Amino acid sequence: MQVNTTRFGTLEVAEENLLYFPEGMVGFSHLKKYFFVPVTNNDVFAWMQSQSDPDTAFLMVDPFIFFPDYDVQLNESVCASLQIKDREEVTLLTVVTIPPQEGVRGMTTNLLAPVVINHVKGIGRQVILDGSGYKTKHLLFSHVLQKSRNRACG
Amino acid sequence: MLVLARKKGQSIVIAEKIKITVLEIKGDQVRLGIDAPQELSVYREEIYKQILSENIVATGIDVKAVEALQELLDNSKDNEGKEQTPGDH
Repeated sequence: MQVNTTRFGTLEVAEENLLYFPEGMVGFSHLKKYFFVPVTNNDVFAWMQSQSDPDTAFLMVDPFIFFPDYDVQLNESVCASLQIKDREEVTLLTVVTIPPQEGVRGMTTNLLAPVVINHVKGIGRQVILDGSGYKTKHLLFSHVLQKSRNRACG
Repeated sequence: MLVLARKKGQSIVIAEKIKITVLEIKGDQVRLGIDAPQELSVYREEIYKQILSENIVATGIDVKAVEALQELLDNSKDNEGKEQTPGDH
């Protein structure tokens, strides 16, 4: 099918590549279907584009690359709703935000509300890890910022 | 808004599938027990609003902002000396 997007123009998307979010993303419950658009020359990040709203796309990251100790405990109801039987079926990504002032250097990701996808079944859900201690903003490039600060001082 | 008075141990039922029970009342705090179908998410409102506003900010990212990413990643790898491989977890 042809899908119109604001960022990437018109894309051809195969039906089997659509992910179904029964509840949508938090605050976007009216948008239930998404698909991934790769970031050119970059396999750490990917866009998750809404099928029905051209404007809505989330920049996603594999959080374990930046936060190897990231600990996600999915409760039974989440696993059941996503029909997860084996952890091999799970893809976990987190939403990225870029503050306008700092640009990509100030990029953060939301470890409090990861997106959990059963890629075998093609269903996903944004899960809030209430009580986990994680926040909505974790700096991705803290070491880069640290370095530039050190340089500025030295 | 519908207003109902409940005592400790009493419940309300919503749409025949959600049950909210008053478990404990202590000063100005009330502990609630919620029975809801697995596919329904139940959040404390302030957490929900935090995620909502973060998601709204996230959908404002421009493709151009991301182009600078590759540069930063390359620099970061050069400076780090140790590379982290995607999917290595």
